[in-house]
Amino acid sequence: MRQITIRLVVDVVSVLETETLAGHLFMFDNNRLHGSRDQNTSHLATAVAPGDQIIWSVVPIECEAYAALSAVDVPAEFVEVTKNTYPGTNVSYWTGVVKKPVGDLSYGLTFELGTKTKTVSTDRTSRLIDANGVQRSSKETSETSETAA
Amino acid sequence: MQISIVTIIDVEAALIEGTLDNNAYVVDNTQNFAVPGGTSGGLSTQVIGVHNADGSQAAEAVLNWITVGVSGVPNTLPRAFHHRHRAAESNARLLTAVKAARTPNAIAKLLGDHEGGHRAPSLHVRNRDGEVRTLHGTVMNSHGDPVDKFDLAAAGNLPPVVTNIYGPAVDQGVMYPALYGSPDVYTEGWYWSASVDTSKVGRHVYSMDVVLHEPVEEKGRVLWVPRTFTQTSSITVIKALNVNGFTGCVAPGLLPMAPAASIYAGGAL
Repeated sequence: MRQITIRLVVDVVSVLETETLAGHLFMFDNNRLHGSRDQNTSHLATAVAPGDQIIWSVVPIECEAYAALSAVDVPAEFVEVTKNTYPGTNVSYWTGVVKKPVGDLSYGLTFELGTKTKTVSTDRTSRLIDANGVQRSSKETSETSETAA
Repeated sequence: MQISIVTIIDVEAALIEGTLDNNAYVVDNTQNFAVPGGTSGGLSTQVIGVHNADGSQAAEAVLNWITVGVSGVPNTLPRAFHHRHRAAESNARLLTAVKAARTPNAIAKLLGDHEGGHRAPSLHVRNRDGEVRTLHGTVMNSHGDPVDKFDLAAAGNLPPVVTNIYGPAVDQGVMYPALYGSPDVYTEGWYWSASVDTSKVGRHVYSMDVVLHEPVEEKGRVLWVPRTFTQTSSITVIKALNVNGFTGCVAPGLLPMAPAASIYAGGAL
């Protein structure tokens, strides 16, 4: 069971200037050796296995700028996410445990940037994918086929 | 302009693979100024040399390097957070447990329990001079909790430490780097900063030594040993004329406001 940190590096000033996260959000995780792809992009595909714990953490490029995650939009049947705060601080982060193989799952992020009331969301460009060696069961595969049909 | 250069390192993968290639990335807040097709290959920090019409320097460019691990607690936490698991907190927890104990035997057991976590956690670290020092505290994972064991996954949570910035950009007097302590008492304050001689237009390469700590079994205990990795980056100095942001004319100029007929101090408009 790995603890997988997804570090979200964001250029707060550029997002506030352009009203979009595109080109100004750089995502990283510590699971490249288990299959994660597209580090340093806004379409990071994080490799996860059932039982892994995911932690989403925000780092602003300019350390004086305020940046935080207000929502992580991922289906609860795969990962149930909660917002946490480091004890004694006002710095927050999100966590979730992977319940079952994810296949290829897009998810959305909403940021508070500059102030708590200014929010900007991604276009669900980031994904969770199965880590090396994770197999979806044939039951889940056939359910997906029926949904797609 | 205050330029922020963030280096993100997957410390665990770098230690496993023995290289920063594919394990370290540089992100900065200057790419809006990049000329399309100007820099081949990797990212070069764009440094704008703002000058007056007579060629003299009009503004300063300052580089600030922040180097973080992908794992571990973020650098936005207050300084005191890094002391959470150190001696004072461990002793306070032990005292609370001792006060609640009912019998002398129970107290003796608590005080003698070296494995139960009540004793002050410590890290044995070899510094770059080869000396071994014992630090109070332990490794915190991304949650801020102590790790279960000192393995490479735990090592991923220790922050990388930049120990030197050097190379042609420094030798040729383009940038003047030094290690600074931030006056900000809220966050951990050490960082590297450099002023730039913006008359030296062009691309200038520099290298950064980054120390990652690796756990090694020695004499029945875990010793954290420093390993130095090198990251090569560049800055590109470009020139820009100082202009009035309101009018686009050469600075300073006048603001685009029609002069009022009569305004005097204390008077009504």
